[in-house]
Amino acid sequence: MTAAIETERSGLVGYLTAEVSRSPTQASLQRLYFGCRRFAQNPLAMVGFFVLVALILIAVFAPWIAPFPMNEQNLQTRLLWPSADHLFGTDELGRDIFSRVVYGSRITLQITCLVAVIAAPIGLLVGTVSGYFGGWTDTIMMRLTDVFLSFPPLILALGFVAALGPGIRNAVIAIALTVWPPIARLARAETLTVRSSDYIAAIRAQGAPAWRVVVKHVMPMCLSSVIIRITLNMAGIILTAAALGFLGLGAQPPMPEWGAMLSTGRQYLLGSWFLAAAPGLAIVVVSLGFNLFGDGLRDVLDPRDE
Amino acid sequence: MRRLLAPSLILAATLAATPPAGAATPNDTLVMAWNLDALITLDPAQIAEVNGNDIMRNVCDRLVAFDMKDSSKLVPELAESWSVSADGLTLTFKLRKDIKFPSGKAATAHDAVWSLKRAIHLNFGNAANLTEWGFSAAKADEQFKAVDDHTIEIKLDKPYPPGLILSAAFTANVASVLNKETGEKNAKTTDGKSDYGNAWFKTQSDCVGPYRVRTWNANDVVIIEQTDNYWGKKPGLRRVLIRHIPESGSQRLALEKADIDVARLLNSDDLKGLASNKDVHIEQTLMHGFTYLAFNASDPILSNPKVRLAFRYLIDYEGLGKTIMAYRGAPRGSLVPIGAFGALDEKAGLPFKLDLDAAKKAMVEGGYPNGFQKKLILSANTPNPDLAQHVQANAAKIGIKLDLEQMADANLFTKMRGREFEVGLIGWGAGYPDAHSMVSRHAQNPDNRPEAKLAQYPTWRSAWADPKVNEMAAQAMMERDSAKRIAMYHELQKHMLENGPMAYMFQTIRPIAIRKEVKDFAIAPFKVAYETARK
Repeated sequence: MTAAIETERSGLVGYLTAEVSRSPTQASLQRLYFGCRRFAQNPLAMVGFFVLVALILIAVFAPWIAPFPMNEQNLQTRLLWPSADHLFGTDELGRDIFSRVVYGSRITLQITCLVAVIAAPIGLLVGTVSGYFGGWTDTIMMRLTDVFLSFPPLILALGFVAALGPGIRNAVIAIALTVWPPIARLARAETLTVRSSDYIAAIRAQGAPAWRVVVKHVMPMCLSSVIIRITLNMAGIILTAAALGFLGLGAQPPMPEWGAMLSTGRQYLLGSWFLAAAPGLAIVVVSLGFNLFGDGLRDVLDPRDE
Repeated sequence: MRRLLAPSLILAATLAATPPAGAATPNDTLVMAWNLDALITLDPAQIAEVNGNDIMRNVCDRLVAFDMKDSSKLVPELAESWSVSADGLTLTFKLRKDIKFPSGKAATAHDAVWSLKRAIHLNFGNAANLTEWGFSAAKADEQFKAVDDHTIEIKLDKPYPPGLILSAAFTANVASVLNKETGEKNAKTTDGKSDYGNAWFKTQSDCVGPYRVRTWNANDVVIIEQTDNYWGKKPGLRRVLIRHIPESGSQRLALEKADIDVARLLNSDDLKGLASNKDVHIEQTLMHGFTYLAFNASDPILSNPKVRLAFRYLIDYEGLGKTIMAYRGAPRGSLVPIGAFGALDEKAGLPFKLDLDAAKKAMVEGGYPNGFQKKLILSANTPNPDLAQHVQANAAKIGIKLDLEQMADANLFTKMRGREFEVGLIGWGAGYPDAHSMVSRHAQNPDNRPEAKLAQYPTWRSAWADPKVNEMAAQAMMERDSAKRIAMYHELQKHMLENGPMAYMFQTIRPIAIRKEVKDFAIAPFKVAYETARK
């Protein structure tokens, strides 16, 4: 059998596939390697992965990819149909829609990353602290979480933006405020399962302070499910950001935010459908990409499915 | 039975789900689609929005009316004639002798006087049409008098030019003649104050006019139908049915399918699409309203007239007028709208065009060669974001960085009324076709102190006052020689073009799309006459 021969390989692959790992580094690298292999076996997850890579590349290299500056107006060439010059046509002020969609990827990526960076640590901290300490801390923090959870996310985000004032920065804050509660719930549940484990008892017996136990020994256990959760949430974040933009509460003109572009395009739906179709398609593709990627990631990271 | 059956059949036919094909509106009914969101009252003393005004101008005749051909001329309506005393302080109306309420009861000067006093006592926003001219609740009994059944005598506090006060006060909704008997019978008293039948008149009508209100279902439909004892010409169509269809696209489809005869809410894109349709024609009316940029003069940079002048050269009047503002607005730089008494002509009223060099020059003269950064607030409704982005792009070319902030109309109005803005993009509608209507609010500022809170004066909102302009406006208003008055307004407009706190962009156009079956639908800036339409 070929498989039998392949088990004894040398070099990097051999190092990564060795049956017995010789160091902790090798063990984690092996885990990563097998994770990646499992991920790569899932075609849908790979589609999601490539969409994200494409999104990041487009965002980084936007000035080189976009054929026109994003805000260059020309009233003489407004509402042009898609052509070789203007791949997605031009909008109501004569701006190239393709260039705007390309630059819009920067805004979308920026919003999703910022929200993830703000919401994940907050959720993780609240969840683990609440789960680990229990008692009054738990009750107060979880009731607070319940308050946030009892509103539909979009309505809550709308409320926050209305209070803070429209703009991208406030939209990020508002969306982050709606994203952290489910993460906190999740982290708390994970914490409850590990807090009574032997290894935690051992660390405590050694005299480790509570913060050390939470940060060093509880949080890492919750991390994988939080990452999965936030990745799956990315699609929701994109949609919420687009919805805020659509309602004029997110990115302000002339920023080429996809939701705002969609909202403007709606006025021209009967005559020039491409105004709405191009950003709409971009939103669909990217949120689908995040969903597929998140699903694949869960298959790899979530041990329960094995 | 027949009387009941016919209307209900018509209702069923028009309101029921659209039949697959061959839809047509009834021959004796005008079906009009509009957005009726804002309609909250049909009481002439209370109406403050476009729908109610449009409908009730067809339901209730006024003492005096604007000539449908030329809005700056006045024609008799319920008053067959009027005269002004030698000292200019007494205005006398002679009412027609043949005017009757729909019930057949004769309408008299007593009804007319009661209606005028009622508007003042109710004191809704509309009362300003009268209180602005020195009428007040305390003195109403002396100011409005019915001398006999057909003569009204009105005492003025100043000798205003008759044309001005007639068009400002006695063509307005408050100058409808309501049935005093109905009003008194249905009056409700709360806390010792009578509502003069306001609760009743909100949804029903009893005034002299060609139509009466038959049905009003909020956010659904308004039906008006012809009255029996009308003094004037019978309406061409028995009934007018106004349907609430709030989207432009749906209105366009309904119009193309002949489900409706008239569409009132169509955007530029849909109008352009309809322009090639042979079954429909589009009637564009130049309204007495504006879209303009307002600058807050309490800002040290924007208080500089040269800076404000620079902005006027950043507006591509021609380009925008042909594209974004097609069917929506006509380029106009002066504050008095075309069609109003005393307006500068088209050319003199628009000395500006997109000219970056001129803008740059004005900035250098103003002392800001390197530009500055300001915030522009605007409504999120089309076409405002497009206009704002256009100005923003041009401003960037001469170093002015404008940050845009879109918001709901209500927020925008609150901010502007509270002086909480730097630059604002907003609209305004004049109440009557006389230069004074705009000048009194957009040039005069009686008290510029922040605590004066004259939020109904755009000049106050912009924290801008000019004693010389106040003086010019006051003189022009009282001038009784028409030629001199026109000359004074011309001079004032030229001064404002260079120095004023606003950069006017477009004079509002009202597009109405009408199917070819409907003929003689008369449209003027201040009235859309349903009664002349026929099929």
